[in-house]
Amino acid sequence: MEIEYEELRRIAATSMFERSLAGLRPAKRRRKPRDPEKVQLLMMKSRNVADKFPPSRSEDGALVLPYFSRVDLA
Amino acid sequence: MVRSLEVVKQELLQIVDPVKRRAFFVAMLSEEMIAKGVTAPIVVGGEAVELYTQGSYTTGDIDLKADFNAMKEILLLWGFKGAGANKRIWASKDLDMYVDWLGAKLDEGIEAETRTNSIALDRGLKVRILSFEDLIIDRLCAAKFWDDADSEMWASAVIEVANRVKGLDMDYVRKRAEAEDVVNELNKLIAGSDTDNR
Repeated sequence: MEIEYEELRRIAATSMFERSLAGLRPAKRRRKPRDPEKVQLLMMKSRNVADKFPPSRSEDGALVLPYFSRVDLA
Repeated sequence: MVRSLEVVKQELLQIVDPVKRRAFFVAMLSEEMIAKGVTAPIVVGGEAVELYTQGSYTTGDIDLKADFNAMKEILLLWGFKGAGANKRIWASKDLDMYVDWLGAKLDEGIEAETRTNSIALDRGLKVRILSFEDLIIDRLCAAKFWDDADSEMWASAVIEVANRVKGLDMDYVRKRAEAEDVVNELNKLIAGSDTDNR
């Protein structure tokens, strides 16, 4: 079966909207521990992002997170 | 005058990345709330982790502490629908945006409100966010009391980001850990990290 991505996105967005209004929000906690290799991988991803977009502070003390400084347009 | 729904749509829907889109949404909401004479909302919870880790962690909704009436007025104008007994959930299908209103004030207290960080985005927009320290404690509480297996790892990721900007006040972290009964969890986390602010 071939699913068109935009159609899938539209269906998922509608479902999320309706579930939110019905009070059926996704669970925010994970009870099953991840295996150590997966934890390592996620930490590596987080470090790599911080390396690629190094956080800093501006003169007025605001936090500058470069990932957000450029907006990718469609 | 508050940005119209059309303007907000135009600005947000051209941002492809949902992580960036959520950040700019909060920044625009903040700007409008400040213009109404109330303080900027404070990003907490998963969205705070998402912002600090620049999208390494992703969340589906935006956890906010904010003045309810000002927030509601703006969100209604932007086409949001409120749900739940006390209108805690605000959802917009058009913007694909979900706000979870968690109250007007930080549960962590007045000191935590003075310690919030401000993230400078593009176009002079800013987002007010829970401090690194209070977010770390929040995640450790989630790990201990909610049995959330992932939260400890994300607390560690937030520590690493804080260390890069030399922004971690370990005395305050320890004080908060004692108050929230997560000292053991904090010590375990520090033992396994390169925290240089011990």
